[in-house]
Amino acid sequence: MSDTTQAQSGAGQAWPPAPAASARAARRMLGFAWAADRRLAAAAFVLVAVQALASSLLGLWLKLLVDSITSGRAGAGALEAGLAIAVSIAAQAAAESADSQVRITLLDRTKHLLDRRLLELVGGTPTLVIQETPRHLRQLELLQAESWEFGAAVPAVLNSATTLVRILITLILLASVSPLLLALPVFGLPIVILSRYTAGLFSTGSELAAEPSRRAEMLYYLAASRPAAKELRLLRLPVELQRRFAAEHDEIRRIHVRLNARGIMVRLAGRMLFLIGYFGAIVLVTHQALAGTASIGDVAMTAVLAGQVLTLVTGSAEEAQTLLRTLTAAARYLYLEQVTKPSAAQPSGGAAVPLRLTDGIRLEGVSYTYPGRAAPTLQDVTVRLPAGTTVALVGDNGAGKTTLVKLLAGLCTPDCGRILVDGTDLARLDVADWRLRLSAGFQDHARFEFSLQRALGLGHLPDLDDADAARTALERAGAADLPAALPAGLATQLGPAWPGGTDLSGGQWQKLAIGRAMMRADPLLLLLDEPTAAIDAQSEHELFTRWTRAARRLRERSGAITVLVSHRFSTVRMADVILVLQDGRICEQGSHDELTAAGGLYAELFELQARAYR
Amino acid sequence: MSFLRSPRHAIRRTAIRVLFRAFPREASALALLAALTGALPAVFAALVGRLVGEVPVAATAGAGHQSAQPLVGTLIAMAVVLVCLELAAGAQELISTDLYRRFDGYLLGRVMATALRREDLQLADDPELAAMVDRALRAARYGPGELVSGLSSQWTARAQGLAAAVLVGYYRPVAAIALTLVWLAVARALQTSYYEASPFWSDPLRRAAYLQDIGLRPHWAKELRIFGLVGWLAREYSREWTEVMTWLWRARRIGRIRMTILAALLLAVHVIVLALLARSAAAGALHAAALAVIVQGLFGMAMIASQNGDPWIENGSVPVPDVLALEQVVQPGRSGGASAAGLPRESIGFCGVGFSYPAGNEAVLAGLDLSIQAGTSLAIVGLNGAGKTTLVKLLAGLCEPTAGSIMIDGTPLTSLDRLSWWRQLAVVFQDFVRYELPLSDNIGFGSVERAWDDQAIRNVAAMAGAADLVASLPAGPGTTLSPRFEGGVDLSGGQWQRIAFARALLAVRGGARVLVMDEPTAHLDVRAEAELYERFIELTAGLTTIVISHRFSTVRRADRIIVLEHGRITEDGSHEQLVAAGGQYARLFQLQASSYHGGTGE
Repeated sequence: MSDTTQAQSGAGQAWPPAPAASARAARRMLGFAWAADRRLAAAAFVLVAVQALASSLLGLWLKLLVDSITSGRAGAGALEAGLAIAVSIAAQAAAESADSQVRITLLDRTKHLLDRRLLELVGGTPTLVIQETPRHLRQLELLQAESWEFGAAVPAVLNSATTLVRILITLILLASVSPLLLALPVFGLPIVILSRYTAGLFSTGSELAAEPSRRAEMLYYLAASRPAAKELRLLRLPVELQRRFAAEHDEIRRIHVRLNARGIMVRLAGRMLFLIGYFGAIVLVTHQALAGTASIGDVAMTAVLAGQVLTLVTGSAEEAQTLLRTLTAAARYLYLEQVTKPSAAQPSGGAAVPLRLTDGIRLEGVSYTYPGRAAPTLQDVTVRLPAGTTVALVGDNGAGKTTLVKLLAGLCTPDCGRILVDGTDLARLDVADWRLRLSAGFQDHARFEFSLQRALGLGHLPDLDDADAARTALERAGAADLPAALPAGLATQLGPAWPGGTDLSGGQWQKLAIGRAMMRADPLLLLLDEPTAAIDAQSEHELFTRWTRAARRLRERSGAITVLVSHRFSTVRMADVILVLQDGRICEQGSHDELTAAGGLYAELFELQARAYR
Repeated sequence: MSFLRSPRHAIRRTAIRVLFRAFPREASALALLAALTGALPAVFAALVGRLVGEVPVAATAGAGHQSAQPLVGTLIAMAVVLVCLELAAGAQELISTDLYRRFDGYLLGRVMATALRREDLQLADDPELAAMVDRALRAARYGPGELVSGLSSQWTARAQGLAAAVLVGYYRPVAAIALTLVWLAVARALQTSYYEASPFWSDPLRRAAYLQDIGLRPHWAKELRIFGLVGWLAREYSREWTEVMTWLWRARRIGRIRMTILAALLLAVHVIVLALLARSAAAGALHAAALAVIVQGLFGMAMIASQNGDPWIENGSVPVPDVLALEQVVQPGRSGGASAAGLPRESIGFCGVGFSYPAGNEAVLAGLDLSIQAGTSLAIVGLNGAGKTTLVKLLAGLCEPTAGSIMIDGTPLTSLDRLSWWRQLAVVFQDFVRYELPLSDNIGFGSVERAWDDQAIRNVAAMAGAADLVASLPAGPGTTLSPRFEGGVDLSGGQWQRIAFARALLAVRGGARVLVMDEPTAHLDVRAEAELYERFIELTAGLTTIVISHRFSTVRRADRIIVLEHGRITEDGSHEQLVAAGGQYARLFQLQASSYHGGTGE
């Protein structure tokens, strides 16, 4: 389309094109306003029209007033014209105030709707396509940073509409004086053409400043980060961090000022051309008045309209900037919508998730490469996870363990090959249903700052506020003592930033995350990705014993599979099946005894760790 | 809700004062240009009046050259005004952009400086102060620079309105005064209703914003999907939002009545003024030229009530008081004067040290007596929450003991110069920082006072087992360690751990004599951990080393091991001694050992 050419430069042939302001974005924003509150949206447009009319017609009333006095008819019609002026001024003020109220409410509602849609869009995408594609993630970050602009898209569109109506009325009035004055739009043409260039400058500016802005922001939050506080001080970094922050901001300022200056120059050139036209108009009408073909009122009106158009042009430049900025933000939203469509539109549903596993989960020739990376993280993995077993994944950092976990959870889809759950392709299962039978604990777990009860309950929403379920889950996670360690037990608000909130230690957060993973009483697949790195030996041991017990119970009931990623071989050896990954491939598999007997990589790694305990 | 009645004008005045104090020249230039762009339209209006007066004169005089001369002069003046207006507006925008960015960086820089001013952990540990820091930090979300854009457009509007009032006042002073008063009342009403209508900076919406934020956090995306939380988050978000907004919508209705009355008043005053004008014009007492000027003035006076730029001013100024309040509260900490260079030569001593957090009811450490001989290694073992990390913070002087004292070679830690003591320490915290900066900074920060060349960085990286990592980086040590930046790379937990270790090793090369490692191998895989400990003795030679770990592979290599329980030392000795003693240590060790060497591991 028309807007792709300039904004995309440098982005190569990437799809979809980098977001840029477009008519489509404007239409979608208005659609949102309409969906948010039809009555208010309609009212906003009516008020826009009233304001535009009231302000544009002032020129006409002035003409009538001046004409009535200078015509020599001794002020006939002067009173009427005066009253019209009074009404126009008051109506404009009233409409403006009503408009600001309507608009703010509309803005609130629209912003809320947009935020909610964005949340549902980003959060509702079943895979991690946005989070794991740097290009997409960048758009999301930019959109979040511009959330204010995103919300302001609707008012910006309204403002531009007002300006448009005013320009239209002004042109009609001018035409009534002399059709020649209709040539004026030709003089305005350069402004319109050049505005595309200045808009390009604006997006170039934010693109150029994006990197230093992100760095400045990173430094800013680093300086105030509570976990980092001790290290920053010990390392004597405060002065250095501030120096760098100031340097980044200087860079940001220079970029903006440089591009802004260029934009102003270009726009100034455009406007000067327009002013020539307008000045010509005044001269023309004055000339006509001298020749007697135009009234003195016409001269006054043309000049006033000139003054008004002057403010219109001055104002519209700013409006256009705001509009472009907001529409660029809106276009980012459309971009995200576009890139999530394929993943959201996956043929999901068809097949039902089995009540219990009988065969297990099979991977057939599964490969996966992260977006934007050259080397595959998993390559041609074919393996069976038998129903009712505990499967441990071991291997060096970067061997592909976590990726395998993500694939099993349906968070990524294999580039080739398939994953079969009791013979049914995972891609054909209903994602939501599959997730209901899935639970997981991660090393990089979320730290939900709700009450302890809710932070646990989120692991199984039907039991969100069920204290018994929460306690049972903590019990399973070997963390039954966690509530007692907190000031208000399960009701304790987590997170020191909230009123009365308590911070947890790293180990406590981790136990909480494991507890959350234990909220689902009956999962088919439990994924535990290094969830115990921050937990001491004794707790860890207790935990694993419990898990083994719980896994056995689940196995009998539903053929459930537990997948465990760990570096601790004392745990790993308890697993029924151990898969050893190396460079994205499975290089060994079997039980602990089989693998140690085989004398391969597993045996070597086990021996390395076991040595410490002789 | 009190936030609706907060003294906003005082907040604005404060913000504007901060702006002028920091950038007096730029801010004054902006104000002058704004006044100019505001006044020029009035000049133009006056010229239109002159034109209206001159045209009939010239027309009746025929095409006589002499009488047309002033008319040409007026036309030229109009052209000049139009061009000047454009130039002034351009200059104003440029200065506004520049000052916007300057103020942004300036105010956020002040927040940063305050957050870093305290040398101990008071800001992080005191919940009340932490909340204040959080409030001040929010300045970044509002964008303080918006104050500048807002002022720029508001000053212009005010100047325009007042210049128009002068036009009217030149001919009809009483009408000008009356109308100015009415417009000021309108301005007030508009402003109030605007405030009442804008919840964006208010606290109550924070919960809603948090719920939305959670849904967008990339790092939490896995759990959100697995637990199917998005629908719930969206619903909760809407619920919290609606609760606050319902209240606000009710408050907004009050403003409507007031505006209706004012609109009626506005109409009445204008009707009177214009009726009087029409009468005197009809009576020939007022020329068309004057009338044209007055009417244009009447149009222009509406700008007195203009709220252009108001939201930006609001956004930009709201966080300023929070920033100032924090600065007031946060004073730099105390530090001793004695240099710590070369310490410790003999020992580090904890004498009856006790510690409890201000908010905590239980003591983290109680009556701890411990003497660490310089040049030896000590391992600390204990369950989570036994006070191990607190011990490190105390040793670093990041918190002060609530009882007892810490002595370095017999000198109390409190009488040592903080910065010089910190130069003696190389610490790898459990939650070490992952700087989203180049590798050279990530390692170089270990000894920030010196400039380290790439070779030095490569050397310590190799010592920490990260030689392959450095070799694989696209831009070598200059590579940024974050995928969020151009050409940046993402590191795994294990790779980060090596970087953190390399940072500590660089600190040692920079002169640090005490190496403290808190769970230094938590993120390392088996092989890397084993490799690291192969060289443990070599790496720690000559240093006083303190290791905190759950892993016996780590702990057993230390010269001496202590077991911490409930803030006290319960066991003390070498690995062999403690295993032989059959206490808690022996029990934990057996537990682990049996899971490796026992039959089934259960």
